Amino acid sequence: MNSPDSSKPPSPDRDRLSASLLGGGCEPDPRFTLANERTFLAWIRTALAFLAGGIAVEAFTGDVFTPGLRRAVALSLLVLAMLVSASACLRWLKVERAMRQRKPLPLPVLVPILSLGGALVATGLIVFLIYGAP
Amino acid sequence: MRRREPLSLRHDDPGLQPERTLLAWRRTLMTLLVVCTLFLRWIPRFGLMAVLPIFFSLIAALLIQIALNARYRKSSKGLKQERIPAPLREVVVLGGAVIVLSATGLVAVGFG
Repeated sequence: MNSPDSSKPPSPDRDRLSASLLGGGCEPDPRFTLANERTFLAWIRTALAFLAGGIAVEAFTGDVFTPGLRRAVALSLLVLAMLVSASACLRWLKVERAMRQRKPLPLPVLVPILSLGGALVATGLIVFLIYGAP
Repeated sequence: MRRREPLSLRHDDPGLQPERTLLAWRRTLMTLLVVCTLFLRWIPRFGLMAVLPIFFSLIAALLIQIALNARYRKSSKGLKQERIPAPLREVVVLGGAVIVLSATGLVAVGFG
């Protein structure tokens, strides 16, 4: 195993898309590349869970929520799914670039937004279940 | 007779990173397929709008599934050579599929 700070130039055989999006720098430790890949996949699964939630709320909760509330909950879950999946891609790219440049990794901006969004939706639902149930 | 393990699949990584990454891809694709089946429920209400994302994600899942074997070989080989190409295409295809799925959902619920 090489030492972590051994610098390797970018592979000469990579395609134009990777070259333009990932930029120069040197090849990161392959374990870090794989770890970044798995983190991206974990975020994508989070997005898929939101998506599944949104579809399920719209499809199965016809007799639980009022039409307006059902729509609002489904829409907010679907918006979250889209935000999470888009930012998962961007974050993967940013981390990959930072690793190539040996820079510190960017902070996950989405984590506070996601926690806040999740907390708001949950609070709204609790209030509805206590006071708004027919 | 015991089949010999292909040389390219061998790696000396004690953290089993290639396997863990491959399994992470597999379970993500499986989740994608489960979400696709949920869209089936929307067909009576939204019609073609619900069929398109299913079709789109099935193709994305198939493409990634095909690319995964090559990816696993590359990661095993890359760990030995201390260099793994970034999976840019796979990330774009999977991320794009999930974004399109959510966008279709949004349009269907918002305007349907």
